[in-house]
Amino acid sequence: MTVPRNGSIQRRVTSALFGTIAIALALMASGIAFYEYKGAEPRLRANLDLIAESLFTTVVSTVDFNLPSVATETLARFQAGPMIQAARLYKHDPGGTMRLFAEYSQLGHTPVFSSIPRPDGFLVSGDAALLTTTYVRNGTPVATLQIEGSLTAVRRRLVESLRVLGLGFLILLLVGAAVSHLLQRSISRPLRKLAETARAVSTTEDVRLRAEVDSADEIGQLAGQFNTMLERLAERDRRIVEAYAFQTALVESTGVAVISCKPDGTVLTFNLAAEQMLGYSRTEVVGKATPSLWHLESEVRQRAEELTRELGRTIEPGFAVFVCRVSHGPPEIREWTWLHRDGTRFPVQLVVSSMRDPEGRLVGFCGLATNLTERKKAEESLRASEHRYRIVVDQTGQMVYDLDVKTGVNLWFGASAVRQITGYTLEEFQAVTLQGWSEMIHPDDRAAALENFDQSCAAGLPYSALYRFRHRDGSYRVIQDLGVFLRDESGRVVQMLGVMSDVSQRVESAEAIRRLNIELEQRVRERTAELGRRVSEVEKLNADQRGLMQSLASSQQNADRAAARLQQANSSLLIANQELEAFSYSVSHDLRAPLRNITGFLELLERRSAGLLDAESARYVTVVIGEARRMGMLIDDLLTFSRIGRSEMNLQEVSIEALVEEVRHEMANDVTDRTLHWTINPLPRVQGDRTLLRQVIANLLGNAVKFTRRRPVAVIEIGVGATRPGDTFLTFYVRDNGAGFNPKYLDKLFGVFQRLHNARDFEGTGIGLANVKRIITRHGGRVWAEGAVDKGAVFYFTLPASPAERTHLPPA
Amino acid sequence: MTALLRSRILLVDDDPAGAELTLAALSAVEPDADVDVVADGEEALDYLAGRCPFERADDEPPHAVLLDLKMPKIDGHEVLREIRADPRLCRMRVVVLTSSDQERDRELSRTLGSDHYLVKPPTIAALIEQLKGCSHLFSPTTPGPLG
Repeated sequence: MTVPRNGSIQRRVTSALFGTIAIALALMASGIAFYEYKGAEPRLRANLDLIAESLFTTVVSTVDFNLPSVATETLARFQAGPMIQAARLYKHDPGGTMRLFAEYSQLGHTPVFSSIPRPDGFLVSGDAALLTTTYVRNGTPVATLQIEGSLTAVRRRLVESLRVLGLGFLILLLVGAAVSHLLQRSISRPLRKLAETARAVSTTEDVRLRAEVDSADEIGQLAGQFNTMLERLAERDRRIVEAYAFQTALVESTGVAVISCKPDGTVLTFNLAAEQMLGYSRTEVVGKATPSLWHLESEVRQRAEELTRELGRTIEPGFAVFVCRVSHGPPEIREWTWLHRDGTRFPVQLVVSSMRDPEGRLVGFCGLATNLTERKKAEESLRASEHRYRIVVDQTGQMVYDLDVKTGVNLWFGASAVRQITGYTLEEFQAVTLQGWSEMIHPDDRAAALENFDQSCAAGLPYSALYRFRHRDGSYRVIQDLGVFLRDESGRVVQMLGVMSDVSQRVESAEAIRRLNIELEQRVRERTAELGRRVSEVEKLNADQRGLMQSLASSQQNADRAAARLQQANSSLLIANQELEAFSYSVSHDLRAPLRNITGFLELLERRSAGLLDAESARYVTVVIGEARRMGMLIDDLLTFSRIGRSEMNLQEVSIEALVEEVRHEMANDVTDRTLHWTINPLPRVQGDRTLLRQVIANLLGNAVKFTRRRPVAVIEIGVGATRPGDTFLTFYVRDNGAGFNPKYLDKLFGVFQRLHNARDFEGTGIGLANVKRIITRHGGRVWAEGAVDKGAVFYFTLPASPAERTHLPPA
Repeated sequence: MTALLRSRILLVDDDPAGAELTLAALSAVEPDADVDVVADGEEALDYLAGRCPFERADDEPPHAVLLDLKMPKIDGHEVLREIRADPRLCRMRVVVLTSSDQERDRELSRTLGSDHYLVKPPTIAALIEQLKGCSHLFSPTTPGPLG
C-alpha cells in the first residue's frame, strides 16, 4: 500500500483508515454475493421439496375423493409467496395414465415449462426451475405434482444484502470520520502545532517560542523535549549574547587598538581605539583596506628583508610581514611606527595573533596595538627627572643611598660626594657590599653605628649616627648618617633611604670656635688678673701718695708715658716682624744660592778629580762638601723655625698613627743596619696642621732613633697617656732607651741651637726640639721631657683631640 | 733632519756660577740640546724678540725656557707674563727654575702659565733627577699647551 509521503500525518492516517474499511467491506460484499449467487438453486429446490412434502396428505385426499376444486384451491394458496409462479397436479389413473387434476398459475405469468407430466426431478431453465414429485401409496403412484419456481425472487435477496452492505459502508465512513477527527485532536494537531512552532522558530529565530504540551503521551513528551531544547538554545543564545556584549564593550572601551583581518589581510573589525589612534573610521577600512595602510613602508620593507633572511624564504613587503610568523606560531610582539591619517607618526607596540575555528583552520588574524607615545614620553620624562635628581643629589655634596633591606642591595647616588668622602668613583663604590661599608667605619665607631642601625631598622624609626668613615687614602672623615625606613603594606621594613654627609668641616669649625672661646676666656682671665694687679698697684700708689697732688699728676704722666712706650714697642715689634720676614726670604734665596753653587762645584770637582787627588786632598774635598751641606741644613732649619712661627695653620683632623707610619717608612732605609724594636700603641686622631705635626713626629722619632744608636737593641715606644672624661687634649709620648740627657739641662733642651751632645757623638743642628716646641705650642699644647744620662728619654706632648675622636671618648 | 729636531733651550739666570751648574746638569739630561744662556729678564726678552745683539738667521723661538725668578731689572715673573702675552711665544714651554720655595712664588708662576716649577736642589745629582722628570717639556715635538 502506497501512502503519499509528503501528505500531512492527518491525511495519511485518514487514508489508511478508510482504505482498510473499504477493503474489508469489499471482501465481505463479494463473499456474500458469491455465496448468495451460488446457493440460490439448492435453496430453491429445498424450499420446493419442503412445499411438495407438506402438500402430500392434502393432495392424496383430494385425489382419492376426487375433489379437483379443493385441489385447485390448495394450489391457489401459492399466491402468497412470490417464489412459486405455477403448479400443476396430475391424477394417476389405474390404467397408468395421468390426467391434469388441478392447476395454478400466478397472475400474468406465462408458464416456462410445458404442461406435460415428467419424471420426478428438478429441472432448471433460465431463471425458472421445475420440481416434479410423484406421491406413492402402498407402492402405487397416486398423483404427480409439478411446481414451477422463480430464481429471480431468490436472487433478489442478494441485492438486498448488498444494499445492507452499502449502508454498513456508509456507517463505517461516518465512524471513520469521527475516529479520524479524534485522531486529529489527539495526535495530528499537537504534532502539527509542534511542526508549526518549529517552523516559526526556524524562520523567526525566536527561541522564546514554546510548543503546547497538552498530553503526557509520546507527543507530549516530544513537545516537552522540544521545549527543553529550545530553553537550552535560548540559554546558549543568551550566553552568546552576553559574551558578545561583553566582548563588544571590552573591545570598544579599551584604549588598545583592536583590529582583526581576514587571512588575506582585509580588515574585518576596527574598534573605537583604532579609529581614534589612526584617524580612519571603520566604514572606511573594514572590507576595504589592509594594515599596510597605516604602517611605514620603509619599516615594512626592512622587516620583510629581515624575515627573508631569518626564514630562508622570500617574504614580500606587505601583510605577510605582520603575520608570517604567527601563522604557524605563537603571538608576536613588536614595536612599529604607525601613521595617522593626517601623516603624524607614533610608536606602537603591536601584538599579532592568529584566529582559528574549532577545527583549527586559520580564519584570520587579530592585532592589538598600544600607543607608546605617552609611555616613551613618560620614560623620557623619568630619565630627565632622574638626571635632574642626580644633578641635585650631586650638588648637595651628600652621599645618598637607597637600601633594599631584604636583599641588602644598596644604590648610591651623588658621584662627587662619593669621590670626595670615600676617594672612590661611584661605580667603584657601588660594588662595595654592606659588609665592606661597615668595615670602612672607624673600628672605634663601628659597633655603635651598627647597633644603632639595627635598632632603628627593627623599630622602623629614623636612623641617625655620627661616625668616622675611612677614605681611600686611609684618612677618616666625620660622617653624619641620617636615614629613614620605609615599610610595605604589612608594616614590614623593606627599604631604607638615607644620606651620608661629611661634617668634618662643621665639627672642626665648631671645635675652632670652642677653642677660640677658651682662648678668649683665658685672655679675659689674664686681662682681668692684670687689671686686678693694675688696680691694686694703683690702689697701692694711691695709698702711698694719696695726699700728694703732684704724685697723682706724676702717676698720670707715668701711665701716659708707659702707654706711649707700649705703643712704640708694638710698632717696633711689627716692623721687626716685617724685617724678619724680609730677612727670611733673603736668606732663603741669597744665602742659599752661593752655598748651592759651592756644593755643586765641589761635586763637579769630586767627580773630575776621582783618582787624581791623593787621599788626603780627596778627604778635604769630602769634608768641605759635608760642611757645605751642614750649613745648608742649618739655614733650612733656621728658615723652617722662623716660618713655623709665621705660617698659617691649616687645621684638620690628623691621624698621628698614620704620621708615625709615614715617618717610620721614610727612615727605614737609613736604619737597615740597626735592630729597632718599635712599640706603637693605638694612637687617636688630633686636630691640627698635618705638615707641622709631621715635623714633630719626624723630629721626635728621628731623635729616638739617633740617640739609641749605641744600643744593641733600640727600644722605642709611642703611645698616648690615659685620658680622663672631658679631656680635650691628648698626651702623647715617645720613649726610647737611648743616651738620655742630664736633667740639669732640661731648660736648654727645647732652645734654639741648644745641644746637649757634641757633634762627634750625635750630629745635629740643635734646632729640631725648638721646632717641636714651637709647633706644639702653636697648637695650644705643651711639650716636656723626662730622662737621665744613659737611661733613655721620654718626650711628652699634648695636642687637641679631633672633634670626632672626642665624641668617642668615654662619656663623663 | 736630526738637526731640525734638536731641542733648543734658553736658560735665563743672573748667577753665572749657578747657570754653569745648571748647564752641567742639563747636558746630562739633554746632551743634544742647543742651549743659550742670558743673564737677566731684559736680555731674555731681547733674545726672544730677536733684538740686538741676539739677531738670528732663523726666526724661530726656542722650544723651552728655563727661567730664574729673582733677577735684576726684569724678574722672571715679568718675563713669563710677556711670553704668555706674545702670540708668537705663547705656546713655548716655560720651566721655572728658582731657589725660592715660597708658596706665593709657586702660585704666581702657575697663574702666569708656567709649565713646571723646579726649586733648585742642593746637589747637582738631585737637579739632574728633577730635570729628567720634566725632560718631555724640552722636546721639540711636544705640542704646546695651546696647540
